[in-house]
Amino acid sequence: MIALPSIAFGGFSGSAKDVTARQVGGRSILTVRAWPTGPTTNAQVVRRASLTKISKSWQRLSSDQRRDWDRLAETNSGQSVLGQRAVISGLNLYVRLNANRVMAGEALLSDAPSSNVAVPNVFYSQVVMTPELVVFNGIKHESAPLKLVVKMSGSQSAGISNGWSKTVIISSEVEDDWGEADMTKLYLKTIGVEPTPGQKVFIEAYWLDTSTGFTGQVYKDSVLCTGESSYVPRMKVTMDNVVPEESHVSSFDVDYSTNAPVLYFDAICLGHSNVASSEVVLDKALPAAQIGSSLVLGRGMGDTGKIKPQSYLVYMNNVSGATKMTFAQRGGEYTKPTEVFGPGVLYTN
Amino acid sequence: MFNSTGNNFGAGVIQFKDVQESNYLVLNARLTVDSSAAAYLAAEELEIYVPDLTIGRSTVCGVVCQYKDRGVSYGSAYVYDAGTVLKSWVKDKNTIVIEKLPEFDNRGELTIWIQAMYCQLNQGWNTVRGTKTRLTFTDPNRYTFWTSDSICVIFQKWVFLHAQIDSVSWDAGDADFEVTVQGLPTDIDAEVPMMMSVSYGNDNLGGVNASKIEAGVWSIKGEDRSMGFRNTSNKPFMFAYLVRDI
Repeated sequence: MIALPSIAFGGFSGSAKDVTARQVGGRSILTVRAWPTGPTTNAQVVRRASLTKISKSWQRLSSDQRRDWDRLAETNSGQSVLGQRAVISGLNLYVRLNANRVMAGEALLSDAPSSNVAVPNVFYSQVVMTPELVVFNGIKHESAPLKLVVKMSGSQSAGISNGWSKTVIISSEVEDDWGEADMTKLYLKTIGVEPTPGQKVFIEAYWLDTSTGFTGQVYKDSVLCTGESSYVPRMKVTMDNVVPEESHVSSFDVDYSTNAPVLYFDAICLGHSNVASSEVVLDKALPAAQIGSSLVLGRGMGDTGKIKPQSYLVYMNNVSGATKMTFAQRGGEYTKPTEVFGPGVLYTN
Repeated sequence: MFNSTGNNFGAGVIQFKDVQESNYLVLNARLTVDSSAAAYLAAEELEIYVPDLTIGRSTVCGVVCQYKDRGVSYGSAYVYDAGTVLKSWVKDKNTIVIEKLPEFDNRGELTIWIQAMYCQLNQGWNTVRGTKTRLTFTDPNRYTFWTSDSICVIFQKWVFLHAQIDSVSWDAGDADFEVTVQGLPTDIDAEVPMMMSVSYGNDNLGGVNASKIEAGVWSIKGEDRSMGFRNTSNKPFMFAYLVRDI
């Protein structure tokens, strides 16, 4: 005989077929067993294995540590159900926070965080969604240990108004690059196909405090994929743009997006031959308005331990559809390699 | 102009000349640090606390650090002052950070010159190109000869300066240098470090000496000049973003 649980009578608990009744904090809670709607993904398998491992590690905590987790749990509530504040156990809080930390690549936290520090809400100004570009822009930056967790769905019909249950984690450790986060490769890797023009992609985003595992409020958004976008990624050149066989740098990042009279350099010049300079040939030609000369500081970083100050004249020219930048050493003692860094005024002769 | 509100390395109040725009800063300051003080040795990075800046973070730029090494050897005075460039950035609206290198620990009093631009990226527009002004140096005693890479780029509130010496005459001895600089705005009044290839006292660092620019004249005292000035196979140079007194 099946004893059907009923919320009409507090105190019932147990399972019957797909329904489970339980008492939590004086409340009767009925849950219906959820059945997966699709095949289990690798990420789900990893996540479930991780949760099992975290749960088991609870047993290895000392009684003092468990007591601290219980105390912290008393000051934190679970998701509110039917307007009542849900109670969460120390074990549940331990698993929840550590699952977040593991997701962000952090080790398990044995000691409970001293308190729940407020985690800020996510703010961004734009999501560019085309088959070629998935870019968040205007992200209000938050410093470490906060990392941005972004969940997105595959393309859904434009008529769907609530598709956030379809989202999966695209990245749990987004660090915006001056307010910009290019998620194109990560989206394609996770979802498997690029967004479809005319269809909708659902987004969930929140900040994760990797030091404690606490998260901020989930920001829900949806974006219609367009065929193309007027969005122009900011102008910068990196190692991805360097023609290696014609260049003498081991790292290279020159950014023009300052809206100031300077461009920003961050490069390691290796030098070549017996000439006190390093050349960099790019795989494209920069706009004529950005061609000129600049002077930038350098500091030696050779094996000898020499960290001597230097100055470098950087001159650029466009030849045969490509820009060549020459980092010509000027002041101080030439050292190989040298890191060249900081703003340099861009000027014409 | 503003004053620091504190720091984590035991220095006093630091006075800044400043140009603060919505997306970049040009800051000028000179500070001294006791490199053997407990607060300095305990700090992982040097933090200067300041009133609200117009920007909440910046990219990395360079500031110049020097320690003094002077004495008498075989009856002759020597100046082996040494230093290099340290990285600096705006950490938040109220904190400027300067990198700390172990090379400067327990070196007595350090002098740090902040003559730098703190800029930001992804600011909506690309670099705005300026025009260089070539500098002409007139040294009545013909002690110093300057290279053609001595230039400035002049803006309304600040100037970028790069100047380097090609050679120093042996006749100079320990004489003071006083050189008229044409092309540089005369409203620049600053102590600017001259960086050299060698200090002769420390193989890892370059030589660094303070020089002065005031009313279009560059000067340096003979007694403050390192031996490195004479090593002109590697050019002594100045690199500074200077706030104009307008």
